Amino acid sequence: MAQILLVEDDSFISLFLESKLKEKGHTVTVAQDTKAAEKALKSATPDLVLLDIILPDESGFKLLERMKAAKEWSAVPVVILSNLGQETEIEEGKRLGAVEFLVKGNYSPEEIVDRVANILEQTNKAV
Amino acid sequence: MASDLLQIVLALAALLLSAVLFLLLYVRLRQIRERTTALREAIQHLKEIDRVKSEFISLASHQLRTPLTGIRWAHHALLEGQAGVVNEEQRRILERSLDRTQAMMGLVGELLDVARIEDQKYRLLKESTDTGELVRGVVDQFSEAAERRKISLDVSVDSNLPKITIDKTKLNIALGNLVDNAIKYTPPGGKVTVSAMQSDEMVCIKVLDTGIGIPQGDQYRAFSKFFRSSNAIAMHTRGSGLGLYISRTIIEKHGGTIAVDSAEGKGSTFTICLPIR
Repeated sequence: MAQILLVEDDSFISLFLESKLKEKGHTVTVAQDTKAAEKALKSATPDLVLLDIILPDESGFKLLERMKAAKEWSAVPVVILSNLGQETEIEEGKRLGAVEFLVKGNYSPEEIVDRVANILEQTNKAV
Repeated sequence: MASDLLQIVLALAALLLSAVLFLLLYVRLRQIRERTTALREAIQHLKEIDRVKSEFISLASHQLRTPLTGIRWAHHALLEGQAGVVNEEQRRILERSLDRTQAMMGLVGELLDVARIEDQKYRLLKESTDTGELVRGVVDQFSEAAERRKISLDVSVDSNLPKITIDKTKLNIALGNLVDNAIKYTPPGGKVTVSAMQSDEMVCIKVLDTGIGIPQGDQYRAFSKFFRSSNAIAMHTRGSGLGLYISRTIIEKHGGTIAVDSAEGKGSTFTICLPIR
């Protein structure tokens, strides 16, 4: 069981992901923009962040950059979950320190949750 | 005195000539400077168009895929009974609707791929890959579709196949297009076989089907954009005609080859070969 921060502005998409993550026993906080995400990060450091890129206030890449620059958040694994998928975007995500770049449209919520479980296992955070 | 006069005239002529030459040079240099400025502005303008096109492709990708993703996930959730048990009729309608949604996702993906290919932005992110695993993974993706159409789908991978350095995601797309076509154009009861083997310094993947084949007269266009063979159109099957074009682009960008051997009414064999190094 882990604490997951889901940064996703599309409430229809976050509905499915939140439900599947909770089914697996994780605690989920949903933030619809980077401001809300930073507020959630300051309140409690999650075990993993699922991060969309196209967000209402700014690019998710900016938040990722700030997370990696902050001592308290730099070790938190970040999985980019976006429907962008050009090579430049994937490279940028990896360059900024994301552990994985998943194109949402290519996966089901179950597959995403399974990938989350694998990453958590690798980082030894799952209980 | 005459010679002094001559010298003066010559000097004046030389001066005049220099002045004319200087003026010509000045005009020429000014023209070059103006053209250079115009060229620089044109280059900036083209770079801006390029940036806008790239941004458009990214945004189109996101804006088209996101609602379709939500619709697809909603279908899956309903079919899994997350909103209550569905009866047979509801299941049938949902499955057909999901099928159309996935076809739409596929089409969006193909159109965006083609836009990026045309824009020369289609790059590879290569990594060392177990070919056998890739081939088995692709076959697995299509096993349900093959079962629904009552087509036997087999896979055969040579042992000790060397790893190859490829863009796994794109090879998945390239091979997936071939397997998808093979299943789509093979009548129920038919067979599709995917095999992988080493051939000299190449790893080759063959997709063989017992389907409708491609008429001889159409084969030269098989890998062109929007190609659909006359017998495929007659079958009223859905297709954008972009799959083989995208597959060819992906394989050629890897330095590989793709070819088809086909006989109308008997089936087709598509062969991809990729360099090991």
